Formats: sequence, structure tokens, C-alpha cells
Amino acid sequence: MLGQIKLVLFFLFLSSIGGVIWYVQHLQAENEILTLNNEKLNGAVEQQQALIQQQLRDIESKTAINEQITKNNAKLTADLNLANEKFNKVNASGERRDVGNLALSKPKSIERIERKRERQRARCFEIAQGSALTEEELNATKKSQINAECTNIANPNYTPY
Amino acid sequence: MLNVLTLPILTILLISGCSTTKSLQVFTKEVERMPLNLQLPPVETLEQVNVIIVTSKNQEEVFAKMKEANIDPVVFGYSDEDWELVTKNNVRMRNQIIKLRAIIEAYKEYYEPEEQEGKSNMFKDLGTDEDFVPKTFNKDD
Repeated sequence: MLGQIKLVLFFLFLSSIGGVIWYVQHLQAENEILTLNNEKLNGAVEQQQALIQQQLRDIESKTAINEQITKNNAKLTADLNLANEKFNKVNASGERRDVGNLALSKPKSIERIERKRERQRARCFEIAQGSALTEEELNATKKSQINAECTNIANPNYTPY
Repeated sequence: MLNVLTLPILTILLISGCSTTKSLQVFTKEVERMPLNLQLPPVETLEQVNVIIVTSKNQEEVFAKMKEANIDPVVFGYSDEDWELVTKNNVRMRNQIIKLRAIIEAYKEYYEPEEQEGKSNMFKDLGTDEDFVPKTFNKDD
């Protein structure tokens, strides 16, 4: 009887040793997985940080683009106001400029001016489409040299005086 | 004695049997779309148009000159007020082209920065605010 108990205890002892070995191996395997997971998580954190940085750069870029477009649009609106100003300019004696009256009194002169203007308008459309500015346009600094129809886009170096 | 040995073994088995360590799922990164990279249309050169001023006084002279130059003596005209509007409409259309181009260039610059680098000539500062202060004009301006 005692011998049988000893045998059972011996097998139990063996199985418990086996269990411990298996458990330690299992822990080691888990530890490896956890280490790998940790590496992956670190990688994911780095990726997330890079993504956040990219998003911040995108926001910055978007804001800059919006600001630039708003600024340029405001200037284009000012350009339209300038065209309006030309037609409604009031002279020293308080009279509004009337192109009709001017054309009646000096048809040849107005015709010449309008033909020149028409050429300038055509050039303005080319510039608006992306045509590169000529040296002449870039170097224009005098009133006689500028494109009076779209000075803001045609003559960037001209400063009104 | 038996309990002393079986209990820890059973506990170890139970604990290790319940514990599971899941491997992380790897999320694949989306492949970026190919840039469309469409080119803007070439610059359209407009035809030269000659403006003719016709008044009640010079009409005969104008038509006579047109006949001399073998041009049909007919004029498609605007009143002075309408001419003013046509001119302003031109500015509006031109501004609209500039705005639309600027938007297209901005989109390109935002979504295709490498391809666009150094190519943009529209998305730029149009000048200082002082450039837009109402100017004084001479008679011929």
C-alpha cells in the first residue's frame, strides 16, 4: 500500500515538474510575443507621431494657402474698384469723368486710347492664363511703361506715384 | 499530501489555460493614388480688336473710311455707359480666371507638392497693398 502511494506520489511529482517546465516555456513564449507586441506598439506610436506631424504640416499649409488666396482675391477686388474709379473719377472742378463726353469732343484721341487699352486688355487675359511676364513688363516702373489695365499682375515692380 | 501537490498543479493549469496573449493586428498602409498631374491649358492669345468711336458728328467720316478700307460700313456698338460695363465685365472675367487658376495651383501644391515644386507662377503674392491705393490718372490713362 505504502509502495503504491509512493509510486503515485512519484508520478505526481514528475508531472508537476513537467507542468512547471511547460509553464516556464509558455511564459517564455508569451514574453517573446509581448516583446514583439511592444516593438510593434513602439513602431505604431512613431507612426502616429509622424502622422500627427504631417497633419500639423497640412493644417499649416492649408492655412497659408487660404490666407494667400484671400489676400490675392482682396487685391483682385481692389483691381475692379480701380476700374470703377477710372470711369467715375471726379476732376478738380467736381465733375465726374464722362467717357461719352470725352469721346464726343475728342473721338480720335479716345479711339486711340481705347485701341491701346484693348491691346492691354488682351495681354491682361494672357497673363491671367499664366503667360510669363516679359522683361519690359517686369522692368516697368513709369506710368508710360505700365499696362494700365492690370498693373497689379502685369507690372509687379511698378509703384504708383 | 496529495492535495498539497495537486492544488498547485491545478492552479497553474487553470491560470495558464485562461491566459491568452493575442498577437497584434498589423494595419496595412493605404497606397497613395497616382497624381493626376494634368497640365493647365496653353495660353490663349486673343485677337486684336479695333475700337471705333462713332459720334453724330463724325459718323459720315467714319463710314467713308471704312468703305475706303473695304470694310462693311456697319458698326456693332455700345453706348458710353455700356462700354464702361463691358470694360468692368472684362476685369471681372479676368479676375475669375486668376482666382480659378490660383485654386487649381493651390490644390496641386497641396496634394502634389513634389511635382509642383517650382512650377507655380500663379500662386504668388500679387504685390503690396500700396499697389492698390486709387491712382490718379492723366487724360490719356
